[in-house]
Amino acid sequence: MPRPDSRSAVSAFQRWAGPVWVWTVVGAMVVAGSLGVADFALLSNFQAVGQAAVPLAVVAIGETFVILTGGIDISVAAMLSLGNTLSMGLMAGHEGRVWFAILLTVLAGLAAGATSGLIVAKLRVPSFIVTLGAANIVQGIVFAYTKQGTYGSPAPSLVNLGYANWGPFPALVILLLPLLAVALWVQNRTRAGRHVYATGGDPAIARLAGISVTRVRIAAFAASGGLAALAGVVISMRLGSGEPLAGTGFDWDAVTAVVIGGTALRGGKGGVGGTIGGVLIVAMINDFMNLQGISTFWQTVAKGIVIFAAVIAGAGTELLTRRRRQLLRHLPGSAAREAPAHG
Amino acid sequence: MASSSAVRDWGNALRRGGTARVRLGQELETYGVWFALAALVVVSTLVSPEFLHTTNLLNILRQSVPLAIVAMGEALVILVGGFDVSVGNLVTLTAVITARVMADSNARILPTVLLVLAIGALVGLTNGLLVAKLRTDPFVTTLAMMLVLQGAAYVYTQGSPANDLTHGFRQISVGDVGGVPISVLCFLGIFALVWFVLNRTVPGRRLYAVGTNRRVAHLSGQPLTRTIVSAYVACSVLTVVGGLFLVAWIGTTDMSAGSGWALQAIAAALIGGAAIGGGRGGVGGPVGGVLVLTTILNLVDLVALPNYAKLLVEGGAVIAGVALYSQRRKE
Repeated sequence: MPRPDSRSAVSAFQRWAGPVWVWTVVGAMVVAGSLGVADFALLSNFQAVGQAAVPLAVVAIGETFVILTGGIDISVAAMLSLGNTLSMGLMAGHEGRVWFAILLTVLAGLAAGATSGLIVAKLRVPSFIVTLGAANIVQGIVFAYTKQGTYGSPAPSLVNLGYANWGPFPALVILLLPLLAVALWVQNRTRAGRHVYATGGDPAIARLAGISVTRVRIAAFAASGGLAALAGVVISMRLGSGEPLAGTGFDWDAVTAVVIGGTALRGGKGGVGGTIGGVLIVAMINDFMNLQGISTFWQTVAKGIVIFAAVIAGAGTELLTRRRRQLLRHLPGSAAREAPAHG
Repeated sequence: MASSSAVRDWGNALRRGGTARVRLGQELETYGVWFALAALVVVSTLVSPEFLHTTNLLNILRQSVPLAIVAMGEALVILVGGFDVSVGNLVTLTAVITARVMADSNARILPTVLLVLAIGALVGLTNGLLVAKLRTDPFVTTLAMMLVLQGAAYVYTQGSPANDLTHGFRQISVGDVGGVPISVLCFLGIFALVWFVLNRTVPGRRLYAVGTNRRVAHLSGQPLTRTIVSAYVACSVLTVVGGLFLVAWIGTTDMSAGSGWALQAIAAALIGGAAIGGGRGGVGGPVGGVLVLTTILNLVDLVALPNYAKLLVEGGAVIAGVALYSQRRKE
């Protein structure tokens, strides 16, 4: 049965940008912030929000792929710290070492992530246990590497790139766009992307369909590790050094952004587009609170409440659709639409 | 296939009270962790002569008590197919509230304990109702709770904790009776109570039924919501009790009191025979899991490895333990 145009437009939007309601919330927050929060609706503030959101966006894109396969990666915070300190240690302020340092750092993240993925996929250990353990190990390595102090420094060209604007747009946001484009392309236009959804949707069926579920899972964790390490490089542009605890809080923030962005934790549903909306929501909450002078202590509470709200809203809509379906089944005339097989 | 074996498992769960052979099989599932502990004790004795000293062994026991109580609670939630990552921050919150409210006054011991227990019950009730009634994902739900609790601890202390616990209260963790630590005696009492409820009462057996197959349990008239909520409440209340023993043991509180405890409690439960998805394990195995973890960390202390080595060893041990266990189960 051909679908009406409006519905296919919506579903195309959802495939690329995520659930409509996520962006409705983003829009509502921009409107509410502009009306209710002093200094919110300034170009400089929007630029600041964008700059601050990029490291989380990079981490959350990787986390999205892991969650789409039905796993979860709690090690991204430690991986970010690793990426931050390792890249700064390798770079040590030398301009000529920038690409070498970034490449090696991302490779280290990929390798560490792939190791977690291997244990998850091959030994069938629950992914959050593996990645929590991996977080401990990676953080231990970071402490050993840095002697638990500030370590290394970025090349001069990277310093303050984290706060720079190109035209009206933050430099980091522009640098994020190619990465986002690649992630969306992989998700929606490649076989690998479809395999990710299939694996998360039902691993047994995916396996029967000839998909190497093991390889998909390993690849997802590797991507998450590599991107978290890359986020460590990005955050050095804002910190100006390597900090052994640079990633603190990024694990839960990334999961929060992904879940608020409409990706289901049981896998197979959602995508990178919604995650970007989730990242913006998290970033704007932080910005509102900073502008209002609310302490970071309350910000943690607020984040928890936002996740509660998202979880309850998600559960509520699911209950509603289930009820609506049950209702429709009892309405005369709708039976044909619900069960066309008999028509 | 999966559902028929689930039905069979559930039949076993029902019969478990009666058939000795099935019960033995259940107990065997948790033996692995005790073998691991025995092996660990042998290795530790060889590596460090100080390990077998009575003071060191008692120290390990004392240190294990708080986490063991938390791990028992976590095992109950995992048993009904749930999950609780908020336990670590509930421990921290318990510790900071106890240290502030009780302060230096013996008269405030009882009110403080009742207060934190009530907070624990409220936390568990919230988690449980959301998961059972609204069918929210247990991981995200308790993650949100974790952030709320973490924020609450910070807001309450403004980041600067108090550390003047009354001496009388500290006895539950530092005192002893005839050489046996009071905390260990208390623990045995708590363990016996939880074991009895889980294995010898109808609500306890329901945890197995609901965890093994929610649908079958529902169709045979078991109250799902009440059972799941009770598991979360039990978990949070036990976590608060563990937090009380912890704050009495360390005497001071800082904001990292319970950091890492969610991982350790979940790992201990899984090493001790619990299975994600529910229906398996008991409360004895998780206690063994805690003893394994504490003994490993004790060994790291004894051979004086640098501080970060603890992170490496703990992370490695957790992954290896859970991996070995999931291999053993498959055979």
